[in-house]
Amino acid sequence: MAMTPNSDTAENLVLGTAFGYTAEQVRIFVESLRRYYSGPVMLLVNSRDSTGLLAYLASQRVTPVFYDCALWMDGHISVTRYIRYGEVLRAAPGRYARVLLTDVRDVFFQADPFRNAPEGELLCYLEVEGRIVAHCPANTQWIQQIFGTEELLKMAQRDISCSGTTFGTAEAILDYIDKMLAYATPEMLTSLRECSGHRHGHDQGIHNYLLRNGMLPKARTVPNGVHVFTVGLVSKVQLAPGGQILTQEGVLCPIVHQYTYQLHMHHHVCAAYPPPLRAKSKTGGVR
Amino acid sequence: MLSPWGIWPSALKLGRFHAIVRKIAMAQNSPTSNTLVLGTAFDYTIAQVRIFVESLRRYYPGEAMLLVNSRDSDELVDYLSANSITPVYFDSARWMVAQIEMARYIRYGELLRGAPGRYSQVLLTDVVDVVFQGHPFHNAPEGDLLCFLEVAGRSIGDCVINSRWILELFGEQEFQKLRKHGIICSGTTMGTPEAIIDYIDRLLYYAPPQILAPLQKARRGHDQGIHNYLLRNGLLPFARLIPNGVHVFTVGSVEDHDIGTTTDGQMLTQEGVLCPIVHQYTYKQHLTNLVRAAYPPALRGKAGSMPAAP
Repeated sequence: MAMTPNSDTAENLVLGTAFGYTAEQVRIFVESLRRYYSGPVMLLVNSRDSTGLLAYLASQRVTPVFYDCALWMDGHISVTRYIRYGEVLRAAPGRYARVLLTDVRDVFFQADPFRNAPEGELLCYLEVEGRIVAHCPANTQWIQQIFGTEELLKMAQRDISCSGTTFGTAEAILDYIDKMLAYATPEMLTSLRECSGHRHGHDQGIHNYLLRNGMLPKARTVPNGVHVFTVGLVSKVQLAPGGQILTQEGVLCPIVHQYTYQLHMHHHVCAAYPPPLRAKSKTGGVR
Repeated sequence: MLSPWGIWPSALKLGRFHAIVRKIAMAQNSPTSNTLVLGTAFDYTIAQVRIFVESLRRYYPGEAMLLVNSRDSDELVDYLSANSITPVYFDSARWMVAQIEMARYIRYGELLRGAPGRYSQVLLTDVVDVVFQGHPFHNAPEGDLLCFLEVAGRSIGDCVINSRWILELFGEQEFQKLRKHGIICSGTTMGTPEAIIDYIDRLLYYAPPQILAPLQKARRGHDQGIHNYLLRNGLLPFARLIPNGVHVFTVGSVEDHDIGTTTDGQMLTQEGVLCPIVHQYTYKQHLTNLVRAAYPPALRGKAGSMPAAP
């Protein structure tokens, strides 16, 4: 079984970002999570987000963490989210045993994410086996723009670790965030504004750089389909009843990521989480 | 004036916002009887916040929060915690295209939005030049939003710095409209959380990133320029202007002979009024000495400012 909590009373925490999302865009994440996990969940929002989103999160006991500061930053929220994650964790020393940092819109849960997690203080999850940095224009660009061509060449043949889900003790996660932000400086984020290509996702470039340069000594890389199943580029999966997505070998991972990348998987999951019946549909008709 | 954001932020649609605040408050079944003192101790040492904290705690047992960052010393955070003051991490400020004087309001707004129904009254306050002489919420003037004037008779046009803030943000025409008005200090503002959030939203409406970015190296304090603009243009309908020396005594520009002092380090108005909050006392050396004498540093291994953690 996984890591030892840092105190007898410590809880676990799921921490994500719903910045700019609608309630519908977070619904499957929240509903699937709440099906298996009753503990603390926080999602970053901003005051411009819809009141429907806030009301929905409150109804699901998900704490909205207002992060209007991001509106005054140069960087994309995919990177600047880590700043607030760090603030949240630093303010609660000893409160959380383990923390899951997770994307939201393309993640759903098939079990309690903290139960039967692999051992390790910091778990970083690999994408599909055999896919290396050099195969992916986005990952190539992120590393090159931040670290330069020489570093890219060093990392080109390495497997890609996805920054969309990272799991660990609160201390290890905070250390990870601090190291991530040591490279995602305000000056770096400002310089990226001028760069072409993929405008967001540079956190993954730093994530892989840290991991492949031994700068996260507590980290353990976990193959795809063990605890997190990142399915964006996986060609063969098993679609099981109840909207579940299993690996080709039939493994059910508690966390599935990138299911929205493939239409048949997206439809499969959405069918298991139909929107609640409302008095009026979007078009005004009674459903 | 054309919106610097290009749109009227949805947050300013108050009816909608208040509806959701009520909804969440009801969902959380939160109590509504607490007060909150909210300030910024960003990059400060213990020595810089000590008198604020000790004087506050002499009169006020309620909730207080100060913004800090993770580079501040562990000793500062420990000191605040030991005085039941919640350190609120604000590392975000380092990444924001705003000086801390403006950025703090964004964090204040986040905190208040995140605690709907939790507080009944909120005091936003400067820290390093504020000392308390009474409970800041007891016997406060009535009003949803209290904004405090500086010394009577001193107008925006009399002050180069206040003039510059208005000119840089709103231009010559607006400056001419405001220059004869008395200065309202943004260093202390008090009100209900709803009114404070509304105030913050309106303040930030005129402080979008594209306006603040070029001002990052300018003289700090543009929040006060916007504060005065809002109040003098009727854009804070809940606000009530409180003369200097009624609840807050802002002493920076008060003539020395108009400030009374007591042997136990308190400052009185010319009329002998003791205000619970004194602001800008550090602008005058004799007042600084007076207050320091009333709050001598506790005996420690090393006196004065605690060294930063290695």
